Amino acid sequence: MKLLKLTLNNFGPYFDNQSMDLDVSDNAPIILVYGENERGKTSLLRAIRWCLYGEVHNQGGILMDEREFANYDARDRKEPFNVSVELEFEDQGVKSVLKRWMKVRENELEDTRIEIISRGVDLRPNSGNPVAERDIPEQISRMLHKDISDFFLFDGETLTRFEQRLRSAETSAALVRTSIEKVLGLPALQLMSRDIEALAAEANKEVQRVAKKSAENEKVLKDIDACSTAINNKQNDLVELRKIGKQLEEKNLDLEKQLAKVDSIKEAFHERKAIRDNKSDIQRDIGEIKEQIKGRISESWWAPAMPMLKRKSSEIDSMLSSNSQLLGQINDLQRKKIDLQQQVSTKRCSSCQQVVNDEQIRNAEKQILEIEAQLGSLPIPINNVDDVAFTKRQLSDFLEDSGVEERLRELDQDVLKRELRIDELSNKERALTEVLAGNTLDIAALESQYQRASEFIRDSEKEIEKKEFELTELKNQLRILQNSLNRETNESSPIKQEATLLSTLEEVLRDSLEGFRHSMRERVGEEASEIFTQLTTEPDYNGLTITGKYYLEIVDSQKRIISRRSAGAEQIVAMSLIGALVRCAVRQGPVIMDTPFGRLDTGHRRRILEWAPTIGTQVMLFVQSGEFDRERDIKFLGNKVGREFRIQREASNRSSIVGANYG
Amino acid sequence: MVDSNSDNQNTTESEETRSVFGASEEGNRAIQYLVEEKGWFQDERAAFRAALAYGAAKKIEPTVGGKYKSKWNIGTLEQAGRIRTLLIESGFTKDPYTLVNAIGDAALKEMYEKAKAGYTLSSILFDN
Repeated sequence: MKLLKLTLNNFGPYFDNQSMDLDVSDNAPIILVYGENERGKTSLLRAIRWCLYGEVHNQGGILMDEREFANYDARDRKEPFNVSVELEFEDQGVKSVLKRWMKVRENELEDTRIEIISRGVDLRPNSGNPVAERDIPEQISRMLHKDISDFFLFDGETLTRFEQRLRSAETSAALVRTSIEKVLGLPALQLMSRDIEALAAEANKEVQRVAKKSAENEKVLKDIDACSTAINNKQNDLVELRKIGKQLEEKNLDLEKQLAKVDSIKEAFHERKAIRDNKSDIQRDIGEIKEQIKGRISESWWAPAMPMLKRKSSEIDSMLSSNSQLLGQINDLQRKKIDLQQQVSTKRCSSCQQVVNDEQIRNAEKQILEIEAQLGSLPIPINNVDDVAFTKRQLSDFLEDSGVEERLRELDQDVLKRELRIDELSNKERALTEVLAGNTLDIAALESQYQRASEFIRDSEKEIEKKEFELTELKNQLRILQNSLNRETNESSPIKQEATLLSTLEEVLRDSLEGFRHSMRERVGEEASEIFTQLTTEPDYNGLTITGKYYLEIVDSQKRIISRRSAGAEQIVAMSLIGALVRCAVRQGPVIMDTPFGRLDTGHRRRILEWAPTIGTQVMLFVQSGEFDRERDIKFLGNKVGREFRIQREASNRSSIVGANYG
Repeated sequence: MVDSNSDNQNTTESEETRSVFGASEEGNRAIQYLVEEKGWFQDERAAFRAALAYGAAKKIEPTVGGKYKSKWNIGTLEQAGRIRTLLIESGFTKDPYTLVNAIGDAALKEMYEKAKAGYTLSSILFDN
């Protein structure tokens, strides 16, 4: 399976549509994604997991409430919106698009304030029909099974858990071991072997029933009976041993639960720290916004009076304009009056100088009176125009920056949104603080008790292994006896032929299965040891050795097992196991590592970077500046980087993905 | 800026023209709240000037008989003469400088009450 494109819509901190082209060549399989803490690297990993499997566990292994994936900015729209992740990929030469989505809306009554209205998942191969929704999980499982995805898509912070789980005697260890065998392709062979064994047992019973009729088979039958009794006894021993083992495990279970509590306490500490960091980021944002508010109001402190000042300014404008019209009107009337007065006194027309008669003079006198009346009815013009114009100029000083009100309102809203988010985070922080305050565990004592109990369980497991070996020997003996019974009896019947065939098949399959399991385990051990030697900077470490349960022990140059391991060493061992499993896996998939270098020093970091391009055909590394300095570290990846992205901070809860171009 | 300790004078409204300004004890408490608790203004002077604009816009009823602690002179409060224009245009036409303290003080008290009640700065300043 190879990822080609990832598109997120309102998922986590990614507002609206954001996408990443992930197609890389085998020559440059590395995809680097840079992002600081709390920016959304883990959200990307969660988005991929959610899209593939419809569920995501947090770093503490707890199933996450998917409503938490709804983007905060999209919530602000106050209307239903889609949260979706779309993954384009290629598997066995077929390109497909997998899209998982949910439609959500705000609901104050829900504890997450989000309600899911509808949801769905689509899988569309480029050629052929869309896959029915109920068949999608199976289709995805065929490509990258959920149980084994931990080995392909993992969070560096939880890396050491694989090894811890393998060492534990609890069910989770068995699950991890089963998952490992799934990666290696063992279950198909196991199933076949089990079926053949059951069929052979049935056929052999029938053969014995027929053989009892003949006296010549008496000795062989007696031996078969003795062998069967021994097998029964051995099986009873095993049941007894397993019972004791179970009792021990039950005793240990309480310790494990308490240790799980330790994990959850560590998780709570981690989560609380993340919340506090997030809060302080938001506080810093608020501080920055308030600085903008202060700056704005300081530059334009008169802003509250601006509407009133604008009104005044426009009143002055209209007053000056009316005054100018009035003066024009008065001038026109006065000019006309002077002309008429001249006509009356000279008895000649003022424009053409022709003599006017008496009636025309009377008319002129009448018009003079009308003009005087008009002038008398007009308002008195402003006599201090200069003063008014000065006031107008003063007012215009106030009106330069007219966007203050709008900007201040926006900034206030930005602050409010963030304060609301801080309230939510504070509630979560309070709940976590209560959890942490109730912690009275003596972690050191618990770990030592757990260590002792685990040693007991390991001893009993060794005893079980021994008994299982003896049982296998007895079963082989029984098979030989049954085969001899088949040979000794003259009678030839189809059931005898069937029994012989099935017994032979069972033997071949059991040997093959054990041989395959053994050789795969050896191969995983060798590959892991080779990777470990490549990765470790400790000169005294000679490599790794693998146990029957896939637990990897560090071996020093004196061939001694190193029992105490640092967190960093634990991470290198886990990474070696993952690298080995990916190399030996029956189907290849993308490898995604989130914050893989967190616990590692520069020496180990360099070695992992040099090794990373060899892990698979598509390797995504999500890194932060504290663990990866591009200028310093990119050279360790050689020319193997196919794509680079940067998660950019837009606001405290909002990020965007941009293609990083470094020329 | 006038040093508040060395120039701590109680004044009345009867002065013809003021050249030093400040708020009453209650007004100063409001300033402190708006500047320090709410973080809305760069300093006390910024808060006082914004309060004057708020008071002018609202044509606020000036405080009567307040005792003001002078903190700024006309040069340090605002040099371009905008305060005078603002108050005149708002209708405080008669020697507006005599009303600066009383208008600022009354506005500060109102702004403080609204801030305490949870209003945002933009809502206080612009939603009259």
